[in-house]
Amino acid sequence: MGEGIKGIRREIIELFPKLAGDVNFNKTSPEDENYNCIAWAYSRKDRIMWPGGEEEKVLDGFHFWPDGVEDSTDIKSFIEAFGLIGYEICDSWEHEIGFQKVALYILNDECTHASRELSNGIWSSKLGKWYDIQHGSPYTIENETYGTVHCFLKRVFP
Amino acid sequence: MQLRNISGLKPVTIAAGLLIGNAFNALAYNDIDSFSNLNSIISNEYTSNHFKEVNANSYNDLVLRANFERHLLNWQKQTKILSSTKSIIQHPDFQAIVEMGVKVTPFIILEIEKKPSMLVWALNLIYNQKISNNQDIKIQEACKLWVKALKA
Repeated sequence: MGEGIKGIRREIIELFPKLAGDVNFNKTSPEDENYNCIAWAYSRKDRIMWPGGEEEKVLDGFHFWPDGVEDSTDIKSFIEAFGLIGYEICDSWEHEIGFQKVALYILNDECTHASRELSNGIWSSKLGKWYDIQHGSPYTIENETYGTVHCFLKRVFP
Repeated sequence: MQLRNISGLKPVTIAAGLLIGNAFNALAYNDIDSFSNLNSIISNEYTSNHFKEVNANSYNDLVLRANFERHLLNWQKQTKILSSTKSIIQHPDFQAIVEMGVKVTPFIILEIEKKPSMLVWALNLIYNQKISNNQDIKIQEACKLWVKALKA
């Protein structure tokens, strides 16, 4: 059991090398393909949230993209989607009491990932179809798949 | 000289050994054949063709299964941290599974029954339909419905 957990940590660190030095890194859930990173950052665990296309219309599962927001992987669409639940662009990822923050990631001009700050200042990410993890900073999950942090958004903690 | 003599004896020894071996095998198989009536079964053309067909199908099934599993493992490994639905379903290994068509649906059913996953989307693309009109259905529930529908 212990070796299993170590093995999973090692596997995650292989994909996200910056987590090796993150003392707050922890796997916090089993695998769950019912939701993805954007849904998790949107505080939902019951849907897959991503801009859709024609092909996706035939896929089972709860696919969601807010009405009125362009079906595009351009970062502006994601900022707009988060804006619908009260998030606004802000300058820093650092913890502010009473506020919740989200970080958006970008690679080749397309949004790839979102992470969300928890009330204790630790950050949380759903790694695609894989695990939920906690990490100390939004920067420690930058990698060759997610690219780099593009911007931060904040809203009053609900 | 001695070496030549020994090597000169070799073919004779081997030939004798082979003869004895063959005779023994022939006797052994005769015994089995007379006991099992195997010769008469194989000489039946219909049965013989059936055996050939079964063997060919089994081989094709094994190859199909191996190819399916190779594509599945690659796809799982390379898309597990992705959230983009488009990237997940347009991955070359996923597309390869979809292109295999209905022949691989038994393997897909086994997989999603064991572990519900987005692999169910291959069934959506192979059959070009959803299993449920319920917009709120979760992947896990959709997998159960596909298993129920295709295993019935």
